[in-house]
Amino acid sequence: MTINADNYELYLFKYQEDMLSPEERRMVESFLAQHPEQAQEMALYDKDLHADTLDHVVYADKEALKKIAATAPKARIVPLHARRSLVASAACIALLVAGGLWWMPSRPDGITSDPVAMLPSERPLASMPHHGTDPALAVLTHGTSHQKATIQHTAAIQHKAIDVETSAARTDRQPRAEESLPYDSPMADQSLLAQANVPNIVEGSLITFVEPTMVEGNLITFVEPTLVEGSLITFERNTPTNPSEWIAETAITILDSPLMTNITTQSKQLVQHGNNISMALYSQSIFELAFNI
Amino acid sequence: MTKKEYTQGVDEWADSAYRFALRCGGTEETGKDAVQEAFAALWEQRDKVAYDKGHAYVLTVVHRQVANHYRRQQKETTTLPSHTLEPSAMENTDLFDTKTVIARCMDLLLPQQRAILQLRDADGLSYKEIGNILNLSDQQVMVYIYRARVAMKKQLLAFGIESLEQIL
Repeated sequence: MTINADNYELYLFKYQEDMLSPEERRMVESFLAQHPEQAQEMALYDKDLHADTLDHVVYADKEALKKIAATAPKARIVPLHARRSLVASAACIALLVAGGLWWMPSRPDGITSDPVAMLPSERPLASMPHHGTDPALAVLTHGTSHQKATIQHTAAIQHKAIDVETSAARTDRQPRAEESLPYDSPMADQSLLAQANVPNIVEGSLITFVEPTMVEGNLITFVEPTLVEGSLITFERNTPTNPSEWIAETAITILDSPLMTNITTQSKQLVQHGNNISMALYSQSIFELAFNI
Repeated sequence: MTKKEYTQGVDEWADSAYRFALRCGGTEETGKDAVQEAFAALWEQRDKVAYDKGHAYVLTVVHRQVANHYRRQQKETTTLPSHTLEPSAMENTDLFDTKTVIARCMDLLLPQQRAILQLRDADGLSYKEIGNILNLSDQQVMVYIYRARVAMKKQLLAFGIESLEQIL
């Protein structure tokens, strides 16, 4: 290994912190002899120059944190952000309405609407590929060109595939790089997560899960780092169960979102459309859907 | 993690998490929100998080919360990054004690550098632990520490302070 412009800082740090072997130390000293500028820089490094660690700062309301253990449900719905802008609210409301109308043609009660008028480039659900007896499929729809991706199953939803169909709403918008979870993070437990490889979800994308045979205890954990403010999730359940009961028992957990400030009662953010429910996301989120029917 | 361990964790980690949030660039308000979110998430995930991993878990969530907030803010406002401030901007600062001087120097670091120094110097975490929380390699952490301490020293010199002993 040689020391160069790309790695010299690491070597100088290790040199100062006594983390190098005698041979490596000689290598650094040789490098510094040839590079006086770096030698000057290293002379500025003071390992005893410690940070101001804000020791005087305390988190005052620890009792409120302790109360979480007494009051928080196992699963919860993320509330609307108290400080979100009115513009974002209006956009999301519009999306909710659009989502509801978009669903209507597929409903058995004959109610129709013009989804093209709301989301002109989307295909109605009836034109989606037939998924046979798959118990779960997720349809991500937006834009003009469609791509297929697959969400792998979670541990709780076993032996069935969820197909995802998605398209980019705006071709000029680059998808965000997928964020990775720290490998020792409990949230990175791959047995609990289903990675959705759908990098083209953009602001305004509509995500729909159709769960015709979900049963009690089914759990979908879905990681979608490309969701952004304004994304809308719609859930549909084609069973005779009273939708209002289902909504009341359906929990959504946002595992990683800046919107978890205020925990409210379940279903508050869900909007019912016949047998469907919808929820708007207001930012990039990692979320977990727990269907407790 | 049991409820008792969670409660103990609040006592042991809340201050550290809040200070870390501030060091990541959070404001008082967003810092408190981030800490609240982190402990709510910890309680949600208590079946999967062992007590000895709880502190790192809380710090990880706090970092994400603050980073997400920072990214959203960046979309809305254009502010001068703190590290681009010229030393002249600090001319009127009262440099009356070591803590203040160090604090002023740290103000000029990048949020990530401040966060790393906080975890290293306040919480005593290893390079690997810091890397796991911030999603960096341990070598990246070392380089950031190196740059941060060099930058702080340069800033001290810009204040005309050769050594902290001058102001003790």
